[in-house]
Order: sequence, then C-alpha cells, then structure tokens
Amino acid sequence: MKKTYQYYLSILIFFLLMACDPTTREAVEDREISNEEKTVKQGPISLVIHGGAGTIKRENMTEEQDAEYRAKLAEALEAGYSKLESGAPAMDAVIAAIQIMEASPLFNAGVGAVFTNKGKNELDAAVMDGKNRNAGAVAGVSTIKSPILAALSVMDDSPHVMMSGPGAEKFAEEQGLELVDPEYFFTQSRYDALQRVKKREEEKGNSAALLDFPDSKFGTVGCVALDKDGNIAAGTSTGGMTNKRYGRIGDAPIIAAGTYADNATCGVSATGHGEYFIRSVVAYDVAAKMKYAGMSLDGAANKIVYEELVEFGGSGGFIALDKAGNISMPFNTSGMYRGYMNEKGKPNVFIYKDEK
Amino acid sequence: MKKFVLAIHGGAGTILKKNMTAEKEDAYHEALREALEGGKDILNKKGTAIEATAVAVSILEDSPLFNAGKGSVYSNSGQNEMEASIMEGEKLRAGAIAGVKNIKNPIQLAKSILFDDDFVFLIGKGAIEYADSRKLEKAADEYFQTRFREEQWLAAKGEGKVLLDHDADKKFGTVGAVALDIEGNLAAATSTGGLTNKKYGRIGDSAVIGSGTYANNTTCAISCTGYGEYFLRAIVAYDVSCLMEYKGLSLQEACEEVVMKKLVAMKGEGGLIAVDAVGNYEFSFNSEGMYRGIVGSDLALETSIFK
Repeated sequence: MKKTYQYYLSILIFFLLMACDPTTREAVEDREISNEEKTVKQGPISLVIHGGAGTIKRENMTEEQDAEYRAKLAEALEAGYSKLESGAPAMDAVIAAIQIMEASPLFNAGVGAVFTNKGKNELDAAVMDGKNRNAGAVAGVSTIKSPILAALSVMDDSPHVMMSGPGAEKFAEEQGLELVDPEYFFTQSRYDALQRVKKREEEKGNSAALLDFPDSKFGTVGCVALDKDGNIAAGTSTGGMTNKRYGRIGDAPIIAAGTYADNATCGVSATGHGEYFIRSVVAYDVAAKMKYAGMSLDGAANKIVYEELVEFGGSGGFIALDKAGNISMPFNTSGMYRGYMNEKGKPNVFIYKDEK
Repeated sequence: MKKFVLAIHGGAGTILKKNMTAEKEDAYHEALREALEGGKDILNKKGTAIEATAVAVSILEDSPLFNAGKGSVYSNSGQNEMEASIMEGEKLRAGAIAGVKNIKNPIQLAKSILFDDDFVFLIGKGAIEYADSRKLEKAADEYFQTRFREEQWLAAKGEGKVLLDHDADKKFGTVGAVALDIEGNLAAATSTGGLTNKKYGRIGDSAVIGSGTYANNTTCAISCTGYGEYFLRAIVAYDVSCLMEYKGLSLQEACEEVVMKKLVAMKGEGGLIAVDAVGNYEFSFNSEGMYRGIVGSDLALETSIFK
C-alpha cells in the first residue's frame, strides 16, 4: 500500500517537474538576459536628418554641388552622432546636427535662408523632447544667429512654448544667445531667387509664380535622434518660403505640424508645403497612427506621405525615428536631402528619389 | 430639415459662485445668450458652420466681459495683442493669426485667411498688413482697453509676473465656438487676448491649428481654453479627433480621455467644447468652471458657468 503510494507520488512529481522545468529554465534565462542588458548593453543610438524636400533632380545638379551637399549632410550626421556616442542626450545631438546645417549656405535655414517679399530673412525653428514632451519654438526672428538654439532656450528657460517676432529676439538677447546683423543670413543665390519669383509674380500673379518656382515653398532642415537611454528628440529650422509676406508662418515652428517627439512612439521633423502640413497636423499624425491604430513607423509614415498628403495636395516629406531606432524618410517630391547614421564612421546620405 | 448645433465657450478657470455677484452672473449669461442667438440665426438660414462660429465668436469678442477682442488682457508693454484661429471640416481649410493689435474682430481676420488658398498662419505686423489689404475693420487702442484688465495688468506688473497661474484668480479667458450646419459640415473658431503681462511675443494654443482649434467632418470640431503651453504640447484639439478616428472612441470618450485624464496627468488646466458629425456635443473641463452655452435645431438655448 505504502509502495503504491510512493510509486504514484514519484510519477506525479516526475510529471510536475516535466511541466515546470522548461518554463523555469526560460524564466531564469530571461532574467539573465535582462540583467546583462542593464549592466552591459545600452539601447541603440540613431540619428536621422533632412535638408529639405523639393524638385531636386540629378540633371539639375552639377557634380560639385552634389558632392557639396553630401559632404555637408555627412558632417551634420557625424556631429550629431558623436554626441550620441559620447552618451549625450538626444536633444544635444539634434542641436549639433541642425547647427551645422543652419551655418551652411546650402540649406534654407540660418545662413542661406530664403528672402521674404520685403527682402528680409525671417526664421522659424522648433524643438521637442520626447522624454517629457516639452517643447520650444520661435517664429519670425531676424537677428538670432541660431534659431534652433533659441527654440531650445524657449523650452528650457521660459514657461512658454512659442515666441515670435521682436519679442522672441528680446528673449534670446536676455538669455545671452548670439545675435547677428540680419546681413549675416544673406546669400546672393537666395536673393536672386527672390528677384526671379517677384518678377514672375508681377507678370503672372502669385499663384502662377508658385507653380513656376515650386521650390520657393520648400527648404527646411531637421533632425531626429534616439539616445542610449531611449529618449527621442526632434528639431526643425527654416527660413520659410521665398517671397513670403504678411508674417507668414509655416509648419516648421508648429509643434505637431512640423516637429514632434514622444518616447512612447516616435520623433518627426517635416519639410514641405507648410500650409498643408499645418492643416494635416502631419508630425503628430504619425505618432497618433502608431499609438491609436497600432501602425508601424513605416506604415504610418508611408500612408501619410504617399496617400493622404498626395490626395490632399500637400507636397513634401519628413524624417522619423521610433524608439527601436527604426528610421523612415518618406517624401512625395523628386528629392529630399537626407541621411541617417546608426553605426560609427558610417553616415548614409541620399538626395534623389531613386537612392536607398 | 437636417439638424444644426452650436456650442460656445467664454473661457475656463477658477470660476466660483462665491466670487460672483448676481449682476455679474446675469451679464455673463446675457452675453453668452446673445452669441448663441447670433450664431443660431446664421444656421437657421442655412448658413455655414464657418459663418456661425465666426459670428458667435465676434459677438463674444465685442463683449468686454471676455478676454478676446474688446476686453482683451494687457501684454507687458500695455497693449492688447490678440490671437485667433478657425478651421472647417469639409476641406480642412484653416486660418490663424497671432500677435495682432488693433484688429476689431481677430476671428474675422482668421476667417479671411481661411478663404485664402495662399495662407494659413500669419503673425505680427504682417498679419495687420494683410488685414489692411482685405479692408477689415480696425479699432484704436482705446477700444480694446477696459479698466478691469488694466488693473489686472498693473497688479501683475507690480508683482513682476505673467499671470500664468495666478493663485487667487486662475482664469483662461479665451472664447470659442463649434458648429455643425445643416449640410453636415463642421467648423471650430477660437479667439483670445492671451496672458496678462505676457512678454516675448508669446503665442498660445488659441492660434495653433491642432492644439486650440480643429475641425474635420469625419470626426469632430473642437475649440479649447486653458493653460496654453500644455494644450500646445498635448495637441489637445487634434488628439480628440485622432482618438475618434484611429481608436474608435466616441466624442464623449475621447474628450474624457484628453481633458480628464491626459491633461490632468500633466497638470494642464482648462477645457474644451466639441461637436461631432452627427450633432453630439460635449463641454469638457477640469477646472472649477467654464462659461459655456449650447443651442441647436432641436436643442433649447442653454447657458452655464459653474461645474
């Protein structure tokens, strides 16, 4: 009787062990991996930039121009990536990369910004930190050397999110940011572009001028970065539209339209026909499609740029990055200056549509 | 006849019955009623939601009781710098302005931009030049000035602060309207003087499409009032629409989620008014009170102030 009992008990124990053993082992392995990750591995770091979308075609570029753009994009990527590599927060990387492009006359931001109807440079910029969804923006400023730095200062040093015009310049001055004579932003090529657009406008009207010079509505720079702690930051800086008037503001300085970041979903920086991007709330729409509709970064990005914006008539594109380090760079124009970097010493830069 | 709905607000905040005289309360109800009647007239005559919201907001702008148009708060330089925006839900056209002075009805300027294919958002002197080119009505500085707002400004200036979270009297005096017209089109409009003693060309959510104002026939129309910086960071108006469109929430659920959960979690005080494509409406606020009102083809006119 006793033996029978022991026999059944041992069978029972055997089966129990069989049932438990694999799961127990798995759980132990799991714990080991996550411990290892905590102590040794860090999250992926990644950086993506753009220098504006538009009618950018191989046949319209000289070899020198092509090389110049690629070199500057690579420089901006390296500048941002080295920050991430040294363990700096994503926002530092975004600022570093954008400041390289703001200082370059090649892009419509900072030096090389386009001219307004009155022959001025009025700059806009915004940043957003995905860690706490804090944000800062400036619009319509003419004397701040680095508008993206001013946007950062609005976020860090004021209770506000958005400042504009002379008031924003006064704030920048009080914060000790570098101010410049508006001449600092001047480039002959952008000034000549304004004269061409204005001449066409006199002949044929505003809408026709826009059609003849479609790129007068484009040109922005932006960056999105993911740091080792899993924080995402995004920033955008622009001179806006050639021949703009009436204090026109595009999507670049508008949180949710041109710039957005949230660690839970993604970071986005847009470039395109600003009016359409504002009305479509483009940057936040990427995040909303991910968190509410369960779409992937690419799924959301492609749907917006290749379907919804096309149908709506909004040309342009954006760069986006999710928490896993996935990158998306969709655009519905013929080109977009763009690039990404997630490996040391390997900046990847692209200009035309057929490049991947 | 198909139905129409119009909802309005005159700002949210620490609006308590104990701080209000009976006369003052009556005056607010009367002003809200007038704005609702004005908008209803338009909708009754088969007018558009765009016109109805613009008219209702214009009436609230003309009243010195609210922080918009006449009666706007003073900025740090002692001026009335206003912002406004309007959007319609059929073609998603929008118009917005910020940092404008001497425009009698900022919402009419925003509406004029909505109908202009070339622009959405204009600021500062340029926006005023645009208003001049469209021959919109201007008003002298004195028109906007009220003794109450001047005293508020002088007090704030004396204390050297922006009235962002003034302990005793936390009010976000924006005005707004949302409407559904008989064609089934939605529109939303918002107008404000912003923050007392504001500096640096500060722009709040009232001027920003997606944050303070949003309309889309497939979902809803929203006009917000509250702590602008939080509303900008939370993209409040468009988020309600996204929750409906992508997550399948009802208007009521979406407003609840955004105003009572998300905004409360980030300490973003304020509220919003909303109407959806079938005529459901919501007044949603996490503050003590919100000046508000509703009227519709099958809804009796009603105005409220407190929770």
